[in-house]
Amino acid sequence: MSSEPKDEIPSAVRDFVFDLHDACRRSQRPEEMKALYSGVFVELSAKHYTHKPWPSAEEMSSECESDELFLNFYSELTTRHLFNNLRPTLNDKINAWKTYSSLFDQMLTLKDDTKADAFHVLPEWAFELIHEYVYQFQGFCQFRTHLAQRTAEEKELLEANKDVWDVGTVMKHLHGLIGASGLKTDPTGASAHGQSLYMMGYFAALSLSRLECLLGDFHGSLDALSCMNINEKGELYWNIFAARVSLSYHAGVSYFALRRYRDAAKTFSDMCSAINKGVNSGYLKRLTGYEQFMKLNDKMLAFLAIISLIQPAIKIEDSLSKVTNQMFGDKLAKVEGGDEGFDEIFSFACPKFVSPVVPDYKSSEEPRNLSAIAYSKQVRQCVDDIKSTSNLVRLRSYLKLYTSIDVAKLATFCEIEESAMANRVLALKKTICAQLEHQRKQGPPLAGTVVDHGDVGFHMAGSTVNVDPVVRGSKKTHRFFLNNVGSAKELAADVLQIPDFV
Amino acid sequence: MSLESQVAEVMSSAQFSHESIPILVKSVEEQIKGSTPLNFPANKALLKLYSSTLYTTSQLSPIKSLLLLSLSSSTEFSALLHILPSDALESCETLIAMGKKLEECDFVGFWKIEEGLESNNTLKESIRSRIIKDLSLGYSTIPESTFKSMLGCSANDSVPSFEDVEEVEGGNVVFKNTVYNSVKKGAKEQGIELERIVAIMN
Repeated sequence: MSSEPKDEIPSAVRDFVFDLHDACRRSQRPEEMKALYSGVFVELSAKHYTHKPWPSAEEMSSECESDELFLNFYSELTTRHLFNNLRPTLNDKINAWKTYSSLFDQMLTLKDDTKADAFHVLPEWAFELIHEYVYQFQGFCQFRTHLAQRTAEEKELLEANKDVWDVGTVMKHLHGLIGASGLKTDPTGASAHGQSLYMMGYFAALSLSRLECLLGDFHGSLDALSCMNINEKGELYWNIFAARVSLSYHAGVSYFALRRYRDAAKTFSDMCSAINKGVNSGYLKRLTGYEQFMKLNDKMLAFLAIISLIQPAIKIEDSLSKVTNQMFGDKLAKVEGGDEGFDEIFSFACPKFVSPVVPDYKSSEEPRNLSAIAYSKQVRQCVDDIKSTSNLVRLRSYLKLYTSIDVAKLATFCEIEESAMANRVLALKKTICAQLEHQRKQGPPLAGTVVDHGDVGFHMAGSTVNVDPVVRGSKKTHRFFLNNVGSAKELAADVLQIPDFV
Repeated sequence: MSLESQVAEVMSSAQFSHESIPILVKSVEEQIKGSTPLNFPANKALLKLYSSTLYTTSQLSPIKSLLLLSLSSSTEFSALLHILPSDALESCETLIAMGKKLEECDFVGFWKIEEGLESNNTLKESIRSRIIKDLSLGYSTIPESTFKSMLGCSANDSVPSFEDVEEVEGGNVVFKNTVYNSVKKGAKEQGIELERIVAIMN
C-alpha cells in the first residue's frame, strides 16, 4: 500500500505516527490517544490523503522503533481509511485480509507475553477495528458469491486465494481473541492479560454476535453476548454509541427470528428511544456515523411495527407507536386486510444475510449468487413465521368477546375447519404462555423464564373454549371512572352557574 | 478416547475445522441410536460446517438425522432451520413440514406425514412428550380418542402414562391442573375506596 516516496511524507504525518506510538506504548493516556485517533488522524486524512492511501507500515517504521504490534495496528487503521475513502481493488481486499490476520495472530501471542500490558488501545479503536473486520468479511462474501459479475481475471485471483476471508479462520480469530482476553472466566477484565487484549476480546464478542446473525445462527448470536450484560449502562460498549446501536439491532433481530418477540420489542424500543433522545438533544448529529444510526433506527422501527401487528398484547411505547404508524401504517393496514406485504417490510428491516461458502470458480454451470440465495432463504423463513403468528391475531380478538364458545362456532367465524380451529387455539395458547423472556440483570441473553403475559386467559375442555373472566376484567378501570365522575360533577356544577342556562 | 470426549475436544478447540466433521457425524449417528444423549451445540456446529461449504449429497443423511433429533424442541428445530444449507431445503421438505405441523399444533397431521420415526421409539417418545406438554397447556380435558390420535397411537393402545396426565375418566383424558389450563379462581381486587365514592355521591 505504498503511496509516496519516503522523503515526501509530510512531517505532520510522521509526528502523528510517533505520537500515536508513544501514546499506545508509553503514556497510555486515553485523552491523548483519543485526540490523535479521532482528531489528528481525521484532519491529516482530509488534508493529505483524500485521494490516495496513507504511507505503508514499512515507510513509517522508523517513527515507531519498528514496533511490529503497533505497525499492525497502524496498517489496519490505514486500511480502513482506504476502504472508507477510496475504491479498493480485489488485491486491496486480499491485502486487507493479510493485515487483519497478521494483527490478530500477533495479538493472540500476547497472552504469553509478560509485557502484554505495555500496549494500550482505545475502546473505540478496538470496536471500530473489529467491526470493520466483520464488515469486510460480509462484503467479501457478497463479492465472491456474485459470480455473474466477476471477470475471468477476478475468478482466477479468487481461485488462487481461496483461503482469504475463510469463515473458519474468521471464527477462529474472533473466538481466539475472546478466549485470550479471559472474558469468559472474568467479564470485568480484572484478570485480563493486558488492556489491549481485553479490549480486543470484548469487542470481538460483540462483533461475533453480529457475524452469527449475518450467517443465520441467531442462537449463536445471542450466545456470543453471554459474557456481557446487555442494556446495562455500566458496560464498556455503552459509551460507544455505534457499538450500542449495532448490538441492539443484531440482538433484537436474533430474538425476533427465535420468536422471542417480547425480548425483541424491549431491545428495539430501548434503542429507538435512546436514538430519539439523541436526535432531539442534537447530540447524535455530532457523532460520526449519524446516517448509519438513522438507517438502523428505521429498520428497528419496522420490526416494532411488525411486532405490534402480530403480537398485540406487547405494548410499544406511545411515542414509538406513533412513529411506526406514520412510517408503516399504510403497509400494515394492507397486510391486516389480507394482502401480502410482510415480505416487503421484513426485507427492509432485516440485515444483509450472507453465505460464507467459497464458490467453485471453475464451474461451467450457470453461476448462482449464493449470498442472494441465503438472504432469500432467511427472509422466506422469517416471513413464514410472521404469517403463522399473524393468523392467530383474529382468533385472540374473538376470544376477548366471549366467556365460553364452541370450537365449531369459532371455526365458522374464522372460516376454517373445526379440527384446524382446535389446533389454532392451542397454538395461540402456546404463543401467549410459552414464550421465553429474558429477565433483566439475570443471566445471559439466551436465558429466559416462561412468563404468561396474556391479556386473554383461556383453556379448552373438550370442544369448548373457556375464557377466563377474571383476566378479562383485570384492568383497573375503576380509577378511570372515579376520576372522570369527579371531573364531570365539577363541570356540571360550573355549567349550572352560567346565568340563564336552565 | 471415548466419542463424548472427542466431541468435547472438538467443541472446545476445533469446531470450525472441517476435519472435525467425521467425529460430529459419528456423534449424530449415536444420538439417533439413543446411545448418547442429545447434543444440540455439537449438532449445530456440524450444520454450520456444512453450511460453510458447497453442498454435496453426502451431507444429506446427517442433516436429516440432526433435524429429526431436534423435533422434540421447538426452539432448537427453528434455530437449525435457519442454518440449514439452501441446497438441502428441497430434500428435507418432509422434515421441515413435520416441524411446521408440530409448531402449529397440528399433531394428527404430523403423524400422517412423519418419516424416519418408525423404528425409533426413543425419538417417538421424546416427540410425544413435547406434544403432551403443549396439550396440557391448553386443555383441561380432551376426548381419549382425540388424545390418542394426537400422539400417533391407535385406538386400541392404552393411554400412555405421562406426568402431565392426571387420569382417564369417562372417555376423557384429564390433565393435571395448572394455572394455564384452569379457570383462575377469585375476583381480582379493584381497590375501590369507599371515601372517594361517598365524596362524589352527594
